Amino acid sequence: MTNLQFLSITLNDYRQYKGEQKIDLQIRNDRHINVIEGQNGAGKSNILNSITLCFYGTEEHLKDEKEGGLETFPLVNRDRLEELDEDETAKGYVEIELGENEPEYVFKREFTTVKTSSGFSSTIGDLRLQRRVNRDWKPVDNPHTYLNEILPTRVHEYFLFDGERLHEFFEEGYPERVQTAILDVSHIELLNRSLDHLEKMDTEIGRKASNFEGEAKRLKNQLDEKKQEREQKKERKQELEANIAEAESKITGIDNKLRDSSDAAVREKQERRKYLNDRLDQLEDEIDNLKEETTEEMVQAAPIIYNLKALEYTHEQFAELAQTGQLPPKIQDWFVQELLEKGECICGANLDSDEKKRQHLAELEQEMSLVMQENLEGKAEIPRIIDDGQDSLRRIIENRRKISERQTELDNVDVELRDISNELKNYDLPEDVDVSSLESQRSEIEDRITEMSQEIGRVDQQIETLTEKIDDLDEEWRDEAAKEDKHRRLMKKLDFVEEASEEISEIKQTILAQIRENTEENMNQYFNDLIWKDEDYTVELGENYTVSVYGKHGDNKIGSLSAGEKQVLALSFMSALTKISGFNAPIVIDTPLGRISSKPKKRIAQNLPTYLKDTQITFLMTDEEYTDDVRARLQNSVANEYQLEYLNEVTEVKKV
Amino acid sequence: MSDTDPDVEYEDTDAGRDVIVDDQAREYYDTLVEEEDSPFYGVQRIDLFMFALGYGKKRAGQVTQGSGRNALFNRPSLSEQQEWIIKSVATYEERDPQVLRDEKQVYQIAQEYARGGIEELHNLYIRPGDSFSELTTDLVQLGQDFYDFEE
Repeated sequence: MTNLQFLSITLNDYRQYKGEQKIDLQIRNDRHINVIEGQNGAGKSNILNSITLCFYGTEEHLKDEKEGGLETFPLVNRDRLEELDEDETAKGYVEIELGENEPEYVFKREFTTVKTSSGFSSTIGDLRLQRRVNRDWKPVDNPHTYLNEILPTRVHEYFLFDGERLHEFFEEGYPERVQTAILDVSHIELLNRSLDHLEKMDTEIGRKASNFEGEAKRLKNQLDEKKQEREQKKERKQELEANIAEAESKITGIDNKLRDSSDAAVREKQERRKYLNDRLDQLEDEIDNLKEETTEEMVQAAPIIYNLKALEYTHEQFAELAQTGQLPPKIQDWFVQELLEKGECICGANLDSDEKKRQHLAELEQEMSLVMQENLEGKAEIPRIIDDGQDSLRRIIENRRKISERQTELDNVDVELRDISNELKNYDLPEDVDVSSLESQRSEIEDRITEMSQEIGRVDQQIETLTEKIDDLDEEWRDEAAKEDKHRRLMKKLDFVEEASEEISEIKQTILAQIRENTEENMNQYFNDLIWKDEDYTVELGENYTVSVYGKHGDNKIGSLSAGEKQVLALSFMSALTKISGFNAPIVIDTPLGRISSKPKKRIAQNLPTYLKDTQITFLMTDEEYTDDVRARLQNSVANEYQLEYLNEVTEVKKV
Repeated sequence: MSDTDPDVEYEDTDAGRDVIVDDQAREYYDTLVEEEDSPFYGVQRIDLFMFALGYGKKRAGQVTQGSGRNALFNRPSLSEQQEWIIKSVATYEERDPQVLRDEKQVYQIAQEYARGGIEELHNLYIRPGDSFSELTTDLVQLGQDFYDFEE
């Protein structure tokens, strides 16, 4: 184990924890899991909070008051505060020892609560850090710099999180959360900072350029307006794409509900619809492919077929020339030249003495250059061209027949799909699933998707037109500005800034694509490692950050995952992020199995020991999660086990 | 189209390395090969030129080049088959195979027909209707008449 681990957490008069309580968390050998068990309200979440309080000065894992959440307790332990008079203060702290095997860093943060007439008021002190240098401990002036290297604030939520809330991660609108998370762990801050800097430079140069006068100024203003307009269109497009992704996921959810209907006829129709939709996709693909093939044939055939008369005519002309002797037999002109130079004809005549024969050969050579030797090849080539046209035409006819067949089938599938939808809309079933209403919703969503897709098409067109206009204006503006010597330097700077910006953006996109691919790979592995079902799933992370979970029949289950399955998916996603983030920090998960029912819980527990086995994981579990079965399955991997004993609003941490 | 004139003397000329189109035609070519809903999406410009040559010959007629000179492709990229189609068009146009000596004229004839054809193909694309289907139907009908077979 070379990753960093929490070696201990010391809580001093923090919330329910009275006095000093040290929780030793050091793991060893194959035992990489810690378990802290406690009933609701005993202070599990406050252990997670104590870590974020110490590191980042915030407590993020608020629970409802009925669960004994934060609002119930002041920052300094209530018992301790009871001993104070009004306006007196009490202090507490959280101290965390971090290291690979031995303590290397000790982070500490104090807090103070003052007792007032109306209650309590707390303040949080600064983060302090002591670092071991050889055998000595030395205070560090800039603890945040060190913390940033260990677990920066933007990524800590992928290492320290509430499992029970995880299922919410994959609720509606999740692609944006996935994208944000991937950006968080992608180490592209330097590139982002460079882009920000270049953008500022660009704005600054633009601002200076706005001071140009006359025509250059007018063009610059016009250019800026068009750029702004294009930005707005791009934002609209992004919004529409996100809405479409969300709408599609809703349709999947509705489809799954209909498939789960207790009515056999509804289930059957839903199955049929699924088959028809798949067939529709298949037919559309086939038609596209056939059209592509036909285009290739058409491009081959058209120049021939449109010019058949010309080809025929030319061939006839060559044939006629050959027949009348004007198109000579296939003799290379160099051969005739050689005969003339040698002075002896192929028939044996002496060309030096027989002037008539020499002249005949000279004329023949001249004639050959007139009609050109290659015309002989044309005479042979043209009939082949005409034949090729016929072959291509036959293939076009055959493809047209296939396209027509598929188009007819596609139309029939369309009609059947509409029929199914209408039948389902009229379904009146006194059962749990309101088929009619679901189907109406489904139709509305489909209509909305169509409208949004059409709008995207229109927006794309507008963006393209604006881009063309911007390019023209940009060129005009630069030409105009460069007319004056004093502007040339500035324009050169602008060129450089823009080129640099383009290059960096390209690098950024390449890195993000790679990270998305790695995340998908890891997510796939963790999901299959953890999920309690025997079948294999394929998890895919799309370019627009949508997640698909395919079962063995190839159907995407993302819309129909249970809360427990969503929790496992999110857990897999978080783990994938921690893995690719490059930070080898420990993980703490509050209520990891909270949403998972008893049988799957056992299966997950069985798989947990192999989950992230190079990383220290601390689970904060309720007694309902940490059942005997779960304990039995984890026992060989657990390094430390604690029980939170809660009595009279005070919690004591007991080692088991 | 001119009738054969025995008095016409053709000069021996060589056509330039590139086949040139004017600015407007260049835009037509770009649109037709780059737009996803075009029947020529993804087609090579050289092949579209040959298509336009045929289409121009049959459906549009010759159009002289407008302003701007843009190299569409270089002539050595033409296949032997494509070259012979171009030569046949010129021979038929002049009603005289001797025109083949004048390579410049041969390519001028081809370029002017292709110029007429590309404009008409672009019009067909932007007009409402299924241009892909119209083009294949046109070809099939013409081809069937010539080759004498049925769909």
